[in-house]
Amino acid sequence: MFEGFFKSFRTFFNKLFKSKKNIRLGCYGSPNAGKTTLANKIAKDIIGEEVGVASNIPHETREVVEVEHIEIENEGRKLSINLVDTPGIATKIDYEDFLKFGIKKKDAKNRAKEATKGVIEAIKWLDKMDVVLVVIDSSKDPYTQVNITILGNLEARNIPVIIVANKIDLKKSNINKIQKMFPQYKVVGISARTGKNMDELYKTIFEVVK
Amino acid sequence: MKAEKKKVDLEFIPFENLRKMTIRDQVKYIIKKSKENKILIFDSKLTPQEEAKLISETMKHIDNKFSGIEICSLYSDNNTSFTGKVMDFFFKTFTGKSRGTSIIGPAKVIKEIKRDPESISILMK
Repeated sequence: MFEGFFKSFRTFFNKLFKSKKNIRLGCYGSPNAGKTTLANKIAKDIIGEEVGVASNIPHETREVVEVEHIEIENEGRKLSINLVDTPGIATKIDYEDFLKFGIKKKDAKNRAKEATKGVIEAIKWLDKMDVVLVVIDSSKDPYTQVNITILGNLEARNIPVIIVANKIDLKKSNINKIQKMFPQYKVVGISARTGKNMDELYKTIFEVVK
Repeated sequence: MKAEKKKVDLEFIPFENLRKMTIRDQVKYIIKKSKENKILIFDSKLTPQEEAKLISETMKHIDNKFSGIEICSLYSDNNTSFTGKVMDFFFKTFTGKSRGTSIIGPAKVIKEIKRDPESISILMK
């Protein structure tokens, strides 16, 4: 009984004094859009540690990873974020696709199984987000069903969105196409790999949070 | 030797049929049909929440034989005319759906659905 009372008291106390500028920032997108590379870049810039392993094999991130209380600064303002890296959302997962990357059949099947669970988890976590970075590979066609479904769900939940047009270091990158396809959203072009334009992204996060 | 011809079934689903179903039943129905290698064409657009639910449920059904689905939802309201907006408003208010078209099929049959805001092309395997 006392335990329950103290738990309720602690929750009330935490809510009362919780900083308004502590937000949960999620990275969402299709597999291989560069979500983990971006999460790693943000985490490394600020706390000097990476969040997860990024690779060119789809569905490398198969579990939601949350790094708490990362403090970012911009023009004298501070913002504490819980950075959440999510598995790529897909409508199909075929274990045979992993075989092309030299993964053994048994491991490919396991990877596919884990990836399906990852997609379900990523969708479940949508409700917990305060702000979401929808990461899109700017060298590919942005007008995909997955991107549209993610954006539609965030809009339905009134969660602020920044579209991160990633991989602007690639020759085929085309930010204009993303802006044209999603004119109602703020689009920031970056390269999570090289760090290009990250300052602009941090600035935009502050603008969206204010 | 004659190459075996692949047969693809297209099934048109009138909106009326969907309206009678709960989201759960709609999703079950779509996955069942996709597993039967059928491509479904709906005369209304699934809501983003329905799409998310469909994706989540599809993931639970993926195995060695069924690798998931391809979805393409298109709005019919790309024109931003006043009349179009009013029609959308009433359609959504009374039916809970958006005007538009959704095409859903098994990923084993459909390689990719490419779209621009006003048209789609389906690449078959």
